[in-house]
Amino acid sequence: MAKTAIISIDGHVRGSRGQYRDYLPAKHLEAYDEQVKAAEEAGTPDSGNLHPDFAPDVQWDSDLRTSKLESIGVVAEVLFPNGQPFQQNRLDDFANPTNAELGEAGRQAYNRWLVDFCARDPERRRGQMMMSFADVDQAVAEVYWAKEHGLGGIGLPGLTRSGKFFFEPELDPIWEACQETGLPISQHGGGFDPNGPQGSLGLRGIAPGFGTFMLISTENAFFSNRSLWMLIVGGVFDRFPDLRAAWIETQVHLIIPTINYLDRICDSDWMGQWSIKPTIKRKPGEYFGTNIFVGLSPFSPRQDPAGDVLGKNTEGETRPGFHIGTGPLMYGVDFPHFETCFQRNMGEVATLVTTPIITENEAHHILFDTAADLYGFDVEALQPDVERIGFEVSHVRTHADEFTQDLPEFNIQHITGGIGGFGRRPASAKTA
Amino acid sequence: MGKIAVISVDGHVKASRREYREYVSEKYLEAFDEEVKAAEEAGIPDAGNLNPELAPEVQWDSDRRLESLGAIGVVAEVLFPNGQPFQINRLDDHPRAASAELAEAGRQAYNRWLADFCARAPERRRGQMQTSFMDNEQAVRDIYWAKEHGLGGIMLPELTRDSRSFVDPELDPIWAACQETGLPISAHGGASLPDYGPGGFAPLVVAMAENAFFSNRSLWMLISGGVFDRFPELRVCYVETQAYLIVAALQHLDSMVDPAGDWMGFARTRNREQTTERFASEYLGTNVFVGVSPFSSVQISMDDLVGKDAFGRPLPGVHIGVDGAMFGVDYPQYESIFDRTMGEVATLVATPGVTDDDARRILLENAARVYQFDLPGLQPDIDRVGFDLAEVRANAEELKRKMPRETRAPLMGSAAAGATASV
Repeated sequence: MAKTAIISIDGHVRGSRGQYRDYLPAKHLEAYDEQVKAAEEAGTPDSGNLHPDFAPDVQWDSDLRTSKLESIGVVAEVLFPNGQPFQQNRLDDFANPTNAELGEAGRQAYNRWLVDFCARDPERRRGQMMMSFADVDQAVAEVYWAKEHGLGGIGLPGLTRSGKFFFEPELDPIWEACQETGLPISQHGGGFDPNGPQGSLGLRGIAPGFGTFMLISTENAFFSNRSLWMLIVGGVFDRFPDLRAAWIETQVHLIIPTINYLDRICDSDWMGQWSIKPTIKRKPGEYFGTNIFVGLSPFSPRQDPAGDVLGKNTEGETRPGFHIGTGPLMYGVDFPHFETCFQRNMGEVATLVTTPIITENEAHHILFDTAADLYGFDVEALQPDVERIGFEVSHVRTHADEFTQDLPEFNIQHITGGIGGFGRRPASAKTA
Repeated sequence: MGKIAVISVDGHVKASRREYREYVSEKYLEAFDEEVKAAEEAGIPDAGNLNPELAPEVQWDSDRRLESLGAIGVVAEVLFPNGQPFQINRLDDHPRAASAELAEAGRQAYNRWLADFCARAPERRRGQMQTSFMDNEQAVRDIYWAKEHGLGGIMLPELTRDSRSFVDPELDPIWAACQETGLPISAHGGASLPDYGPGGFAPLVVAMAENAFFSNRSLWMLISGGVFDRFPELRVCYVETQAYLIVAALQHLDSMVDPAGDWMGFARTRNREQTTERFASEYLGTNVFVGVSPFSSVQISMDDLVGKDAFGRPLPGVHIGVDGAMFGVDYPQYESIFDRTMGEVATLVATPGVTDDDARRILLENAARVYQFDLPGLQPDIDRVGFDLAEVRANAEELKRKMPRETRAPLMGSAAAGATASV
């Protein structure tokens, strides 16, 4: 088989402080300059969530970024923000601004900067326009704006306390515009403000310490995936059958049991008692692979290659119930975040392709093909770059040991997203 | 082996409107009378979430309730409310009132009535006291009051926007009082749900899916907050909270604290070193118990429940386990399995790998241990209403076949009741 390379469906970029200034309207410059001054005086680095091995420039330097990614076999990226002007906490994947007007200006500045950044290497980048649902008409106009300006998709906002639930038909014009333009939507993990999103409860104070750390890390999986079941049961994919959506770094360990549960509901005849008719045409799990895709990021198949994600046991037999399967699966590097699998990237690829139940064809799908199709990459145009920096799956398979030896230890792999490897079977004391 | 019977860890009771009047403080009688008058004028039945095949009296008539339950092999019950004074939505399992003051007045009336109701058959009932965690001193007083008045545990208040997170060590005096009195805590499903807006398919199903998260939220808070390490005798039960998510959450928590992973390294970089002593799943069966209610292999597979294969070998991964699982009938709610209880018992008993000893624990002994039922004291009633496991095993197929079709939402628990209130 021919060479392939990775399309990482999870990369994070931002303008430098100086660059962002050029994208903000004049009336907000004073506020912006004050913010920058305060940050510089406090010695806050010009970066979002950034692995200490990397210089801040990889967030915005087009050539530097491309060469870094090429060195680990990544030919193209789907891009999310690593900080917007007027963002509350620089480490968050979402801006969660404290001032709505400034937050709006920051979001638009980011989107305009992103257009220019992607235009420097348009075949190899799919920037996701950060969306707000505050005003549906404006959101629709922005979808068309994104299309016209070469952006490759729409980044869903997180649920906010005052926001709309994703199942509300009021949002239909937005989904219609996405379907019409052919732009996919992407929900990135971390899409909530632990202090205040709708339904997450503004728990009085957040206690310090280990408990809260575990709490936030655990609940991220729920809040980041709420849009998934809301869109499904809201019938959005029935009304807009060509709409495609991806959940990136949102922790599949929670997707699987929830979809299993929803599938079981649809299999039973419980609904009759409430005199409510199901309004969706398929079982929730059946939207995966046609409308719903899943980006595992930072990618790691190590812990349980035959787990719930693939839905096959070690003999290759299909396991009962809902599993993600290889069809909707995509590969994320999460460059340049702290938790990125950058340093061990080809090791993760080697582990994937030597997983006995993964065929070469499936490996191509996970690494490249599915993302290329979903995000509209031009495969022919990418081919020269794939040839130059890519690899043959069969070669990685036969030389797997070379790729997996001397790998750095897990560099805090699943902080925000990972899934604990492919499975949900930890080496707990109880099962050892 | 002798007969056994079911202790249902999930029953719902309330007083009649007339009876409640005797338990409401005088100060609130006018408000109560107005509420009753409005409800009667609107033709609202004197019932919470009630299966239409059952008369409202089963909610408060002591003898009638014992008789109905005995007829389906249930010898004793753990009791939660099915409505209390000043409750806004009569179908909610977690009563919400128009003000904190009325909520407190309603809770007190319910608790006083519940103490009297349980006293009519004290061996066979464990009423769970309603309290609030907004004020430590009040909560601690309530807990000792419950102990003195023969109540059998504390119902965990739902989290609201103003609540303290259960990881907050400020709540320690409350856990200390529970440990000191020996009263278990029960988290009941249907807690803390947001308002999903008008009814219909999507809000209903989203409520059902998210109920599993919101109702089990305290589980990872208590474990990760180290509450069971500081209070090793404390026991918390998760009743009708959708056990399937407990399994997934505990597996995730286990993987996070796994020394072979790297979450704990990350925690160190944030000065949030691990302070818990065990893997999350290791609190199951000692501090954490799961009441599967209404009991059904559809809520959680029997594999995930018992964690053994047909040869009795442990299955990989986290399972509730035969020391952590309990059985709920959810009588007399809409989704109750009261008309197929023995069929569900048969499903459990006939699961490959489930021994008679396992079944006894899940059906009877775990609940007796956690909620402190006096088994020797119950034995005469067990002999009268109970069943022989060997017989159930022998007739399992027939018992299962006789189950009515599941037309009553075995999966959803109470979340849907609340979500459809506005349908």
